[in-house]
Amino acid sequence: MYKIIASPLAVETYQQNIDFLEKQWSENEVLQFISNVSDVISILKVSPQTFKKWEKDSNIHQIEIQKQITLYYQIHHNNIELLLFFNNSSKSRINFETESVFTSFSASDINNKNSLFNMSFFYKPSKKLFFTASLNNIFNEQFFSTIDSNTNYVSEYKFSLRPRQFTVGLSFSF
Amino acid sequence: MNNLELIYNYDHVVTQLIEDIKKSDFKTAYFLKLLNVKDSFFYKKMREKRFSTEEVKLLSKHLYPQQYQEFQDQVIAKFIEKSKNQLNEGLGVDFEKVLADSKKQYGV
Repeated sequence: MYKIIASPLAVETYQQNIDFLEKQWSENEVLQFISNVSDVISILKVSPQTFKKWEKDSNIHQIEIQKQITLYYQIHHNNIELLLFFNNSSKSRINFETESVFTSFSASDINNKNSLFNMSFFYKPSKKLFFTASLNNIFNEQFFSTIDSNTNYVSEYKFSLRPRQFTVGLSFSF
Repeated sequence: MNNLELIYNYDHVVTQLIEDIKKSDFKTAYFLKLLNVKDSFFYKKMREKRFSTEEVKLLSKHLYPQQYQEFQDQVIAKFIEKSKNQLNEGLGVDFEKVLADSKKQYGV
């Protein structure tokens, strides 16, 4: 019988996955995750070679605990050393994000200023229902140019503003 | 690299990404499903380079799968190295206790 040892990072990533599932999905997913980990640990204790080797390092084994969450471990004497619970998912049930960019460019008599602001929100109460709302470019894109030339007696002023855009979506699938 | 340089580089990356979408073997329907948007909105996004950073990440994952895998392997390798160092320093803990605690907390 092998002993199961975990590095602090493995414990931390295990806990992070529980927190992630609890906050972004539901408690059912947390229970499923803990149950799957428990099943894998039971197998590892008696047969650690069961799961496939990581192609980048043959001393490391990997097993998918749950969709998007993979456990990496190594066998060391009579110990199974858990190294990492890696989650490559960025999907979440609730998401709110904003993005803003302001750029300014000045050269000679030309001034260009751009300000962009995007905001989006989505809520996924279940795997079949999906609400989304986004507001793009609240402040719009401002393109402002002034050109003055005394030699050619040219004076030009430009200003453009993009139309605002607001999107609301609802998606339901069977 | 200053902020403006970063912004202009990002703009270049998004432009390249849009070109790669056009050249890609994937049908447009694939990207529509991926981003969960309608075709008219998708083309508008393409035209105006209005993809959010999350959308850019998602698209690049599918457009450049090999590079994405390499990037992910590098990240995993760094974590594993850190973990191994922790274990070599004798910081390992009995995971069955950790598991028992979480089972008790959630009533599994």
